[in-house]
Amino acid sequence: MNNRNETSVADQILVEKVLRGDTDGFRTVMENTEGLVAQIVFKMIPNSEDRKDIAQDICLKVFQNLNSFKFQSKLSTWIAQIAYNTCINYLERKRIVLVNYYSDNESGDEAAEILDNKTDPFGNETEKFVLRRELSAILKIETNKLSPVYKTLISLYHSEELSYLEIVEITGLPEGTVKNYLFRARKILRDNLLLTYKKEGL
Amino acid sequence: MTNKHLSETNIQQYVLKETSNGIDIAHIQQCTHCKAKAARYRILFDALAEEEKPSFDFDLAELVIGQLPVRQRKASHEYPLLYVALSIAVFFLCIVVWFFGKNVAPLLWGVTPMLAGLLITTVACLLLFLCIDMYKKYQAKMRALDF
Repeated sequence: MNNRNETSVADQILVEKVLRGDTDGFRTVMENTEGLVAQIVFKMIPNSEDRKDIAQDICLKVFQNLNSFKFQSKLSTWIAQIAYNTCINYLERKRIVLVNYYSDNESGDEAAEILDNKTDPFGNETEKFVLRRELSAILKIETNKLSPVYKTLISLYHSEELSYLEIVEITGLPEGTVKNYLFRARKILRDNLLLTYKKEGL
Repeated sequence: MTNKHLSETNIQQYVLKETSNGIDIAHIQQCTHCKAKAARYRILFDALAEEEKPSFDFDLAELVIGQLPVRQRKASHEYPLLYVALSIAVFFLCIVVWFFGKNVAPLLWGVTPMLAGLLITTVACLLLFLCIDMYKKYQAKMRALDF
């Protein structure tokens, strides 16, 4: 609670500085939230050339709308919300599918088969060590195959360690939907990892 | 302890320490099948947490600072349209009162209590309906707002 209050006071001071026309204040705001914005932009926007324009667009929107920030959430959450909505608008304009409702049964069944076999990829310690090294590389590829919203939710929850409530604030999705998408995305990731393990014989 | 294997959701919740269901916890601790599944999820979650965070290959703050518009607070005299609209409204109100003022008062005194009640109820219902509708539209616009 105290931490939240301190953040709120710090946010208030920063916002007031920016509203008075202090560009250094705005630079601090951007530097504090660049990681979170990058996480959302990288996960949502597949085209690397468009990322620069979108990141700029997000920053300008933050600057232009800062006087409407009501301190009902953390400043970083509000900025992340702007980043998420800007990316969603871009994806909708490009007619890119936001959430894939594909059945995960196909890969799920095959993965279940692997799980039922004795060849457990995470079975012994040596394999575990090798797998950990390979895992991050495979994980990167498999995560990129997920739909933009799944990817973003996974990174917000697992990499940025945000709570469900903060993710709800950022995405505007109901809490149940956020949890459901996360469960599905994790299962798809796990199944695909197991399938890759089987194919590549790791 | 339940003999039925746990669902994927329940296993994920167990690994993320989001469950307080004693039956589920007891099952996972005793069932090798579910325990193995939980171990795989744990490895996945650890790997996700350790994933390298993306970063822009340009200085975002530097890029944006140069393009920032100058922030100006508008003084009240900078809203001419508002003043013109207000003046026109007041002017028309004065005209209505000037011409029809004498007729309005007897009209009000002649209204029966029942008719007055009916009028007030109707106006209140209409106002309520309009307010609810306006609030719903406001909420929808806020959700769809482009930022």
